[in-house]
Amino acid sequence: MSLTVFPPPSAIAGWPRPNLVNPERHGLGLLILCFTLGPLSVLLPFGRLWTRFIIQRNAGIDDYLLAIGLIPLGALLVIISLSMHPAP
Amino acid sequence: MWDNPVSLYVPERRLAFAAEMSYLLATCLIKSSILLFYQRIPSRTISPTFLFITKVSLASVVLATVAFLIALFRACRSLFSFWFTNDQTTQMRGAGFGCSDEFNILLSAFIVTTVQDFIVTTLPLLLFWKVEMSSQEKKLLGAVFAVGYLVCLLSIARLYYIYLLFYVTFDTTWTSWYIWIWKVFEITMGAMCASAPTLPALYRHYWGALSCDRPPPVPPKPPHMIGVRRSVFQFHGSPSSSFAQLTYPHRVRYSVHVYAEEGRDDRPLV
Repeated sequence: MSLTVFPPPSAIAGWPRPNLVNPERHGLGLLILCFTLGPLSVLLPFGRLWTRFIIQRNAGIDDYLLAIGLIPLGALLVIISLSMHPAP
Repeated sequence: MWDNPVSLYVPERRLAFAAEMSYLLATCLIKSSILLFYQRIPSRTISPTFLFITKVSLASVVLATVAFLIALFRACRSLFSFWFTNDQTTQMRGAGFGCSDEFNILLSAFIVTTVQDFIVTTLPLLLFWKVEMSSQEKKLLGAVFAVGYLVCLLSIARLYYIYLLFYVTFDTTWTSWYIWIWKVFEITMGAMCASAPTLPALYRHYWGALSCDRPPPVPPKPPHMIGVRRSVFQFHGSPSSSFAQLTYPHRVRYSVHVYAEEGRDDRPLV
């Protein structure tokens, strides 16, 4: 879930001194993933919904669920992209 | 984790909470959408067992999501204390957070979602096993299933990082990066696979037939059609008459289509 970890005091004692000037950081991997797969994963379902609602006019409950599901999906991508912002 | 300024601890928790919640909602909605899509397949192609499994998995997806949402909101005594779970100054003050054992929740969530992913991927495979299709259609469909199983396998890779986090490094911010990579990959692939079956129809509507489309089936020629063709020809003269061939050379091609009636003799009449 949300990864609440309580490190034991012995582990915290073993941590190195904070390097706030030039900290070790992950690369842009997650951000690139969000910016490549993200638009695709919104466009393709949009194409499906367009087909079902506009062209075939046979939208069912599965299409409505997918349409609603796109909202948290977009929110997730935005949250993750935002949380990758450069350190202050 | 240790390189993060203390001022980032609380925002990090809030972001993690929001991301987790949207992830749970999105996976639930996309999985249910896929399962309900299976139910819309014309009933003559699917068995009652298939429908039953679909309904059971749908119920399990919904129930599991509700359970995990409750677990997320009740992970600690209150949401307020959840924000401060990474804050060492609060931890050192000896504040209790009343948090439940997160590793057990994570492990159960992991097992349940992986089993659901496998079911959702395997159900259509059982269905399409019997259907005859061209090799190109098979390749396309195989690609979609390959992505589905890849996602299932990647979610197993996630377990390794969860273990690493809880028992080896305790480094939340660093290790959850890897976990979120798998999660983003899984959910975007899920959304794409969910819309894949409809996209050929979209393509055909705007850009014409696909290269893997078969030509529309030719209906078997009913006997009276032969009579019609024959009468068309007879209008111009007897098929065997050389006079017709000489006079109307461009109409000679008609003779090729004229067959004996009722299919008793398949040789052309001329």
